[in-house]
Amino acid sequence: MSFQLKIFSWFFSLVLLFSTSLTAQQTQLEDNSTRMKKSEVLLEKGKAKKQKTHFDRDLKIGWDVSNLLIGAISPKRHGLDFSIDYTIKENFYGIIEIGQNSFEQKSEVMDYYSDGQYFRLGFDSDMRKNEKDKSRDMFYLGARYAFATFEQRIENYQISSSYWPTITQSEISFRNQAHWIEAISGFKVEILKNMYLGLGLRFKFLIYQAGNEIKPAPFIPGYGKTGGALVMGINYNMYFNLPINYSKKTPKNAK
Amino acid sequence: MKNKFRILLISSTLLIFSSCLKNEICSSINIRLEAGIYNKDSNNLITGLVATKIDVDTIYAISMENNHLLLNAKQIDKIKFPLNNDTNESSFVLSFGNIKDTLHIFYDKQLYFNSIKCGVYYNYTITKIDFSTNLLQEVILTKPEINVVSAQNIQLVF
Repeated sequence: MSFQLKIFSWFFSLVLLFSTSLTAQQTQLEDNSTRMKKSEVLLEKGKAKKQKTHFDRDLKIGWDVSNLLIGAISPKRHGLDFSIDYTIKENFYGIIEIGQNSFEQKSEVMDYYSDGQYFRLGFDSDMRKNEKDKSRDMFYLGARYAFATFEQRIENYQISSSYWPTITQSEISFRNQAHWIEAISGFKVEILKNMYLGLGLRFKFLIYQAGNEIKPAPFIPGYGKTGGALVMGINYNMYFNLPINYSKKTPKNAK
Repeated sequence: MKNKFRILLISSTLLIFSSCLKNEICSSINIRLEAGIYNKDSNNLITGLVATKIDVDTIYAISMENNHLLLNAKQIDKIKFPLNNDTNESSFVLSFGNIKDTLHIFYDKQLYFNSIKCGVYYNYTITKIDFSTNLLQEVILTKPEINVVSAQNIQLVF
């Protein structure tokens, strides 16, 4: 009896195993046939419409480490700057940059502090057109609109006069906003898979500074030290790329 | 790959150091109320005034008696009054021989930023002027804003 039961259970297991593998094969076949159908549809569409090119949709998360380098040279400046760029179309990237910067400087006549946040919105366009070069390095040109809201504070400031005694005031602070635009050129080099180092050169044009007395602000977060209508800055970035290749587009060599 | 690193490092280092090379030289900002000296002139149909020159024995600020702004100045056509940064009024005594006049100037202050190294300074807006009329006959406010742009702010009519 027990032997019969064992035979029955082996038989049942075999049937179950066979049916499972059969179902799996059937599903795979269905999947393959669906994919075939989809690719046929795509190819048909590709014939009817302009043939689309395949490109990777990347999402790069960046960290501007130039503040660390500058902070190492001069401990007066601190900040955290991050960026997110996303492939909108081939060789064209939409960018958002946010950051928080603080700056302090002491002189014989005052202690100056500036602290605040900034936001930049813009695009980069990869200028490399060599299709034979399969590396994912970039040489880009770009533009940004930027906005910062920040507080400036001066402490122990002296106002001297050639006639009256010099006076020293304890503290005064102001809330300011600034708007500027940037023209950017730079490159990003893939040092490891999906890890980039980038260097950007920025030309910044201050459009408008709202707020009160401390004009022009000696330091605007995100803009840097002011010193005329045009200011040059650099950013030295590390990027981590999240490849998001969900684009359902026919590869270039598909005919 | 090594070349890429070299380019990145060299260019970033050069850029960082080039941005640090800045040496600021401070020039003093001396903002003063400028007063022109006038006489009444019936021939001048527009203003009724004519610019003139005057001898002044002393000019000093009240509370600063030992620090003369002018001393034995001959034939001056304008006087530049420094305003007290600690308050919103400054008073000056003008002495012409035995005759003395007092000028009280009331003003608002606006703080302006020059630079971190060179400091801040005030611009002023005159709100009111009081004066005695021993030799001085009239004070006319022509430009209330006192700033880095040199201009005549009041007319002292003798």
